[in-house]
Amino acid sequence: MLSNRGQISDTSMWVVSTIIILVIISSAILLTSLGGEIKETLGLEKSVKINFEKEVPYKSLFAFLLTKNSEGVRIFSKLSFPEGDLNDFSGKLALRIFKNFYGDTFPNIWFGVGEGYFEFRSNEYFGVGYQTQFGSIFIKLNENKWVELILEN
Amino acid sequence: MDKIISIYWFTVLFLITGAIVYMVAIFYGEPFDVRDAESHLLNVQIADCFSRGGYLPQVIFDGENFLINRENLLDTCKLSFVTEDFSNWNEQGQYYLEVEILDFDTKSPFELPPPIRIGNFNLRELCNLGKRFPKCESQKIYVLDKNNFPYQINILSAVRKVEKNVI
Repeated sequence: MLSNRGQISDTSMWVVSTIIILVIISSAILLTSLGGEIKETLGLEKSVKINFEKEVPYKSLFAFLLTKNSEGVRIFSKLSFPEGDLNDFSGKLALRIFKNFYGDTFPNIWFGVGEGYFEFRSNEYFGVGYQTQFGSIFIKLNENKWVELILEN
Repeated sequence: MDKIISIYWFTVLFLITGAIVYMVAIFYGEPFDVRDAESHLLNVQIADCFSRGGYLPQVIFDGENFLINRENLLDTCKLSFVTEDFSNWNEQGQYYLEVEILDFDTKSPFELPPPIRIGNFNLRELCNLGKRFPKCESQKIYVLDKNNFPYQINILSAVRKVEKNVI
């Protein structure tokens, strides 16, 4: 007498494997259709980021350096002196411009004078200066000095 | 039996291929949302227009009066709000731009021109409420006039264009 047991186990194996394939495919489709949240988590969101973020602060920095104090001397000239640094007028003005205007977009802001080879002068308005790979706007004052505006997220 | 198995194999193969194609299409088929970039570029263009080397240019302020107004802003700043003829875009207006000139020290617009508002004003109220709403960006710049008087320029731009940027 012939037995059907072998055939039944063969068929059930195919049925189970089909179900497994269907479950895997449906869960994958479900996951991908969630779309937005997964893309956000994986950083795959399709939006265009352009590297223009500092164009506008740069313009304000330029105007800041051209501002004249009560004696009619530009901040640029004051800072260019060997001992020149932010003072009560220029420091407070820099805070009003850079922190107030751009503080929401860039929580870490530093502005100050640097000299020589990456030596940043700390100041009482923005604290200790630091070197950064990204996000700095740099204007040379003379051979040895520069001003730097660091805007970081 | 072999025939049945090969039919089954092909069915599974097509099922898996179809599913992969479908998943890739829904995952990557979304359009790029460039509205953030577009509103940012609008702001940069206005900032360029209002600040040349830190000063208000002659076409904006002649030393005594502000020459910029609602009628000439787009021409002066080399902008156009004309869009492609798609889904009634031109009729609705896809852009909004607001430029406000303030005295930097007093933050007062006294004796200064009123805020310049151009485009579809409704976009302003719907700013950044979600994906299917207009994208907006605001910026502030510090600028001087020829007499070294400081001003604060507030810029707000909004871009709609939902149909081509969001599914």
